[in-house]
Amino acid sequence: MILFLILLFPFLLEIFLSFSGWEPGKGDWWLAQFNYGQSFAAVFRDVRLWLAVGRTFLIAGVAVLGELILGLLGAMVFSRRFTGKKIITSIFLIPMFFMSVVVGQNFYMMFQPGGAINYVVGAMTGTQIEIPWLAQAGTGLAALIITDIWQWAPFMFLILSSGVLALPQNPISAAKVLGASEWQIFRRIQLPMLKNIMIIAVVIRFMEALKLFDTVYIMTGGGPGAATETLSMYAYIISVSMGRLGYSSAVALVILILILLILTPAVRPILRRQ
Amino acid sequence: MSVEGEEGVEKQGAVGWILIIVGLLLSLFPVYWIVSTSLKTRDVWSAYPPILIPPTLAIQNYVTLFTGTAWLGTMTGVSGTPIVTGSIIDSAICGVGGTAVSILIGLFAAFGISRYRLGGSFMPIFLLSARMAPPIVAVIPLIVLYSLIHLMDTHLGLILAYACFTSPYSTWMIMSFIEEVPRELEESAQVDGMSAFESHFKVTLPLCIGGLAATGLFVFILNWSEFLLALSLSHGHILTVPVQVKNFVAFSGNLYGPQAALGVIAVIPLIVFALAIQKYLVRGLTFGAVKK
Repeated sequence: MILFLILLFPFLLEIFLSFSGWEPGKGDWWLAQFNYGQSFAAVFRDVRLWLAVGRTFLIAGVAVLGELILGLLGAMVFSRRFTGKKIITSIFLIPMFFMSVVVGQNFYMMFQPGGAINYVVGAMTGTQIEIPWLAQAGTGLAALIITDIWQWAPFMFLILSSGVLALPQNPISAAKVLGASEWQIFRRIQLPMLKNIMIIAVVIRFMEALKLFDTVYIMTGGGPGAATETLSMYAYIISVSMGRLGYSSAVALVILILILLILTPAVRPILRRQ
Repeated sequence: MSVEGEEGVEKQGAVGWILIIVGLLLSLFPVYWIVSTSLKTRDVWSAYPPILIPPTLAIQNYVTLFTGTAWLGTMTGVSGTPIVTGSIIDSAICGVGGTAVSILIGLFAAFGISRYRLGGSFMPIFLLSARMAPPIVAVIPLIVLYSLIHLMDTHLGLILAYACFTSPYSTWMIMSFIEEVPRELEESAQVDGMSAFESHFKVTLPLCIGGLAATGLFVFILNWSEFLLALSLSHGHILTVPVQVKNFVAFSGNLYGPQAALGVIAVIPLIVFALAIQKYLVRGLTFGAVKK
């Protein structure tokens, strides 16, 4: 009996968390009841919010794509034997373990007009480049995407390489005997077999990328104006900086429902792990 | 029956090596940058063209973090760097506390779900959805709630918040470890006279200790790096390391050196822990969907 209670407790705690997620609307207790309908209508008319949502999906999409490609590349390269493999693997994983704030601060410095990135690119192309990365909307987004790719490509690499190692060798050996080229083997045999794990990795990474906040906060603070705002950034600005808790509660609720609607079907492959 | 791929069946070719070297350069350059910046003296920080190798090693950047001595005498209005030991302690308290509570919750929840099907088929989706929502969504009502019950800006408040947000991770990870232990072990223990409760904790649990440790480190890494919650739920009484790094930015403007030094210090424990649990990372990150 006690056992059952103890086991039930964490379940209740989880409900508490989600319940507090449903609490929005009680932002300003006394006012909320009357303003609630208006808040919701205002949410749908809020262009800045929807721009932020679209922008977030854009950043997440491009970044995850980049990470997928790099991760796949790395996984294929690491499927061969070579000296120092273990150490090099560990080194490759390092960017993933940096705290987001530190990554943000680091890349903030590097993306300055007089900073490392401009210098290195300029040195490689022979000209002097002075792109003000973080002061413009377009390049700001690019900078955020590059930062995310640097930080999280190791994630894809890690997952995909465990997938590559688990591939059955027979079809591959058979194809080699029949004279297939590297590229053909990759495209026709390995890639389809990796599909499941790729989906899992992409869904998880995309899920996390939508929440992007730390690097945006440190590097651009939303960008010139509101040009690089992600939806977390926007929600933060209205709730904590502007203190409009009532409205931000409505925003939060809408975001929550939206994401749940979109992601729940996408998450099925992960649940299929039995 | 197919033969599983053997690691290292073929030797690496030249193309592979080129890719590896390029990859290493790209991965390590920003790391090198932050370390070298942390060792630069003031006149070298924002030099243009950027100097790749600092001519002198400015160890004092690290020292001022802990002593706050004003070695930047030439800059008026700046009395020195903030002292960082307080934030490290705060981060440690909240990190360890949050991890402990999270593991406790996860442990019980994992046993409940994997051994007793607690929550039915709804549970996995429920847990996963807790991870889907951007933290800001839950933070907003938490701010309101915390202000009411006076948990705002307290260690306990942050610990509880961290535990709530990381319990899905710890639950899933521990679940995957528990499921590796066959039920028959518990059942035969019960036949021998143990109660169900005892069989869980005396038979299965000891077999999962490695996995529990890995989960603990994983959750600790998450808590230590956590920024948004700490930013929103603390107003200065508590300062965790990520918030401290951000404060550096606003406070010091362009004090890149000590700032980078703080970044390096903050990150070292993470790298150490993460490399220690490298084996289990895939499992934790993919919610047990992929087991290496």
